[in-house]
Amino acid sequence: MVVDPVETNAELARNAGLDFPILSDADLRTTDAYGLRHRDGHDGHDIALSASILVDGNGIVRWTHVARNLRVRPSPADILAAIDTLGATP
Amino acid sequence: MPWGLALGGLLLVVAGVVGYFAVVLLLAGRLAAVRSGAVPNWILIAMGIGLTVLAVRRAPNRWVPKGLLGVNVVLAGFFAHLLYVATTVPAAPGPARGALAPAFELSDQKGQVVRLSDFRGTPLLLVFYRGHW
Repeated sequence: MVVDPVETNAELARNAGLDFPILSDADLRTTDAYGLRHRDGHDGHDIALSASILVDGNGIVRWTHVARNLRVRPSPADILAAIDTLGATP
Repeated sequence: MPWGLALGGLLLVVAGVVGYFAVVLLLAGRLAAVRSGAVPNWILIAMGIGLTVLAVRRAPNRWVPKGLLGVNVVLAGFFAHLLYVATTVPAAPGPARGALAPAFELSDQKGQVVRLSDFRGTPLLLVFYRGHW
């Protein structure tokens, strides 16, 4: 999910060889629904905060990580551990 | 050789700071832990400051080791500011755990509409990122 337009995302997917969906939320409606707007986050524009949200098969939010610092992201190990807990309590 | 010690200390601190940006700009994807924690960089910086402190102790009357110690402390302060203050973003709770994820309907990079409900029955990792790359 990103504020960038579809064309930018198509270019990114092509350049980086990504095959998962990159969704364009140019009007930030979904970002707002998830409470993740970063006002004035980039050169006077509103963008999304960096966040990872794990949703289970019933559409329930099961794990979240919202970055407090531009540098910090959850590690793949953190995310895999969160995914493992889904199986434990379906 | 207090000068050699002090100069070595300065080089270590510079390597710690410059090395961080090399990791972030060139290898961020492969070294995410260094990007997040900067532990190797802080070890280099601590060793560098340690060497300049040693140099000052060995030659307390010389100003060069003291000057280089000062430069090292300023560089470490600049690095700490950059890592822990300048890059902080506003706090947001995000969606509550245990709540229904808000529905969405958005276009993917091929222009196809993707909905949250498309993923019913399967776990889904949503990653919001800042964009403007």
